[in-house]
Amino acid sequence: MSTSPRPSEVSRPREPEPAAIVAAGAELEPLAARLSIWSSPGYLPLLRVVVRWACEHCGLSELETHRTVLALVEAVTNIIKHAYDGGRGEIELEFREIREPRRGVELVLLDRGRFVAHSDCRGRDLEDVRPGGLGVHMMDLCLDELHAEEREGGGRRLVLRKYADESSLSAGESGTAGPGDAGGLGNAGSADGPDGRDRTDGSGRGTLHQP
Amino acid sequence: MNERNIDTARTKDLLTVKLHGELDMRLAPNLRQALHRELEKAPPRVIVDLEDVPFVDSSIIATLVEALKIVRARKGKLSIVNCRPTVRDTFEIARLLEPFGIE
Repeated sequence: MSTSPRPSEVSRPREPEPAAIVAAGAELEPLAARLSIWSSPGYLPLLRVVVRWACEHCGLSELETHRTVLALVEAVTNIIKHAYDGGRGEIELEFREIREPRRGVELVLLDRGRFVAHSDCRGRDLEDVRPGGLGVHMMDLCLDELHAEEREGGGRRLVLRKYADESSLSAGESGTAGPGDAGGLGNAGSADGPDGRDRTDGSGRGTLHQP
Repeated sequence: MNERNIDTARTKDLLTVKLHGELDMRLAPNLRQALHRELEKAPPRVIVDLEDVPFVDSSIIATLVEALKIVRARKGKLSIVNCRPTVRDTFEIARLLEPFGIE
């Protein structure tokens, strides 16, 4: 009886162990995942946990993570209240790790509700503090990029991006880096961020960065 | 807002409201109701303690602003104390550190 190996056994590479496949994939592939929920405030705690984890995985500091979570909660709250008018609808959250040109996280919210342009939500004086106006201000100030576009078939695609500050990647936060306290219950100021921040309202297609 | 989320303590001169947990739009209507009830006959000084609150959103801030206006209309004072750094940051973004006396 011949004991030499068959040609197919010699030429076929050995199958890697499952753990090795997972480890190799984790190093090579950026984080990308999708979550779908109903438009109920009851899911906000779940979203906070998930987005917190995603931000920390993407190298954001505690403060950057907090601001991203806050912006995401404000955005979802607006979808629940305004896009779906408190009714039942589906909200999809996609999150993606950004590695170039800087580390960060991209969150995409998709809904099939009534389209509300981001620009239509602005301009509330803080003397007239109510949910919605303040939330939009906070989103603008918390994020580095915010794009909204109408979806074919109805609804909106909202892209939120937050980048890790390079100095915070190696050192701890040196305190809050947010806007200064203007004092009093005055205007929140311009919703336009510092130079370099990208804001696109829903009047047309956003300038989305394709991976 | 239920017993798990709000504790109050009252003296002749001071009302202390201690909130608990992550606060968002789910709890804003009940918080508003609870604050209105507590402020009906509140002493001139009101303290809102957020030591046990890791998160607030704009709906909660709006509710607290409403409470602030009620107290101020009566020539009283409402302060927020013991903010965690992230919650303090939220109030700073909303430019409300000074009105609430947040250090």
